[in-house]
Parts: sequence; structure tokens; C-alpha cells
Amino acid sequence: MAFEGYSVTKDTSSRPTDDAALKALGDKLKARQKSIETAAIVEDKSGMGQGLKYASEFTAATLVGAALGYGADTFLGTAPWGLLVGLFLGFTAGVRNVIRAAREGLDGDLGKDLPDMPEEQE
Amino acid sequence: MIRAGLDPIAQFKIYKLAELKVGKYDLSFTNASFMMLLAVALIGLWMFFGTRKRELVPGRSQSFVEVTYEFVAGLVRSSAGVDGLKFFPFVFSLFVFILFANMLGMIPIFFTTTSHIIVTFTLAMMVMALVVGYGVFKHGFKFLKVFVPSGIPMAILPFVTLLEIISFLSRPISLSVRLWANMLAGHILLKLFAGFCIMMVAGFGLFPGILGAIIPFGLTFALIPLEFLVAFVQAYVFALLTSVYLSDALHPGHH
Repeated sequence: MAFEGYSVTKDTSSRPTDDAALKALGDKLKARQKSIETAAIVEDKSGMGQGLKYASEFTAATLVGAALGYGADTFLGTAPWGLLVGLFLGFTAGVRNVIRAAREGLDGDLGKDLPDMPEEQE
Repeated sequence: MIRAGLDPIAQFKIYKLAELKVGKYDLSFTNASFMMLLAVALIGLWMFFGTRKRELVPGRSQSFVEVTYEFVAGLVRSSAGVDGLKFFPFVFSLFVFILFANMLGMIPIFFTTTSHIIVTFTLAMMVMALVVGYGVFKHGFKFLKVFVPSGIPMAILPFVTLLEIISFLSRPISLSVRLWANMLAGHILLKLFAGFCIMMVAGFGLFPGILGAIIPFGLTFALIPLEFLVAFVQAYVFALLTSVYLSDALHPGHH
């Protein structure tokens, strides 16, 4: 393996400049890593993918709400009311889900709510 | 014969390759099991040959493995934080398995395992079990903070909490439906447009049939790269959502 432009011989006289060069290289690497990380957030741009995303978010919440309501009905014997209220709540949760899903990619707030990252080292 | 060939649903049919019954449960080895095993075997081979040499300056196969590793690590780090990296093996396995299953499905005559909701739902339930299990193990009752968003007036807090619970329970469904529906719809669409070409030729004779088949053929041609993109993006989305949900288990009450 040959690294062009770098000599592997030990040369103590050039230590300080080596350190400076290393530091510059480290900063460069860090900056590059940052740009890669933000670029890693690709979004589902195909139309069908978008549609299925919202559809599944909304339907899933509505179904879960209805199922919870129906379960409450069978266990508590509150005939139609549990299903009605559950469906309503599920609908609301579905709308919330859709809003959340739509906001996810827009302002790029993904991961912004995380606690501060410690200075990392690979 | 031709009708069966044109049926867009026929490609999802599961048939048994080897019969196996344990008690009253049917554990037969099906074509779906075969494709999953094939995916795992290919991943194993890929990883084995990619990491065999362990060069400082990676060769072609090693850098392919490294790029995948870096990609998933960056994904986990950016959406679940540095402490989310303890789940990296899980997310990486999920991503690579789904990616291989989707990509294998793009090969003609091959069966797409992720086009069956039971497969994707099982994967999603694994994620949810890990989220709830780890959350309760790590935070105990404080994990319930996941359901209580901050900055909401007291008056509507119970209502919003109820909505959050429903929304949390809906996650495995939406997670699995998204992957499943994308794969299913894409494959049906491909088969439909490709089937139109055959129908045109069968219905109008050779020359006018080919003339009529130009548009569906063009659409099939355009859909195939799109489907490859979808196969990748859906694996990515699944891994991304997994790490977003795992982030909830790591830091409940942070959203």
C-alpha cells in the first residue's frame, strides 16, 4: 500500500507541522461527516410512497381506535358507545399522525429533539 | 394457461416445497421460507467475503460493506442519538434483510417475501417489542412519559394522552403496512402493465398489437427503475422509523 504524498519515515523535527496538518485533516473529516449525515435523510419522494405513507398512518390509527372501542364494548357492555367514541378518537389520532408524518421531512426536525450529543470519536 | 399468466395476484401465491407438521401446526417449508433463507444466505456470503480480508484500504467488496455499515450507522446516529448505536446491530440486520428481500423480489419469477403483510408485521412487532421491552427495562414507569407530550395545557392533557396511546399502538400497523403496500402495489402494477402488452398482441394480432403495446411497454420500462428505488427507499424508511421509535425508548418524554 502506497500513500502518495505521505512519507512514513519517523521524522521528529517536523512534529508541530504534522500536528497542525492532522488537526486540519480532522476538522475537514468532521465537516465532511456532518454533510454526509444530513444527506442521509433521503425522503420517500415517489408519489405512491407518499400516498401510502399518509394512508397507512391514518388508517392504522383509525383501526386501532375502533378496535379499542370495540374491545371496551365487549368487556364493559356499553354497546354502541365504545365503538363510536373509539372511532372518533382513532380518527383524531389518525389526523395527528398524518400531520406529524407531513412535518417530519419538511423542516428537517428529525433528531432535533434528542439530548445534546457528546463529542464523539470513532 | 394464459389467463393464469396474466393474473397479477398469482405471483404472491404461497406453495409448499416440503411438508412439515408439528402437532396441529403447519410448519411446511414454503417458497416464502425459501426466499427468506436465500436472502439471509446471500447476506451472509456478502458479509463474509466483504470482511474476509480486512484491509486498511478496502477493496471493492469490502468498501461496499463499509458503505452500508456507515450508511446505517449514520442513520441511527442522526435519528436515535449516539446512545442509540447500541441498537445498531438490530437496525442493520433489519435494513439489510428488508433490502435483500425487496431486491430479490425484483428478479423475475422470484417471490417477494415483503409483499406479505405477515412478514412485515412480524418485523414491525419485533421493533415494537424491543421498544417497549427496553423502555420499561431502562426507565420503568417513566417510560409512560412517551404518552404524555410536554407543553400541553392541563385541560386537554388526558385527551391528548389518549390520542398518543392510540397513535403509539398504531405504529406497528402503519410501519408494516407501508412496506407491504409499497411492495404489493408496485409488483401488481408492473405485472398489470406487462400483461397489457401480451393482451394487446393476443387481441389485435401481431402488428397492430405491437403498435398498441408501445405505451404499456414504455410504462413497464419506466416502472422498473422506480421499483428498484422503492425497494431501497422502503428498506431505508423501515430502518429510519425503527430508529426513531427506538429513540423514544431511549429518551421518553423528549418529543
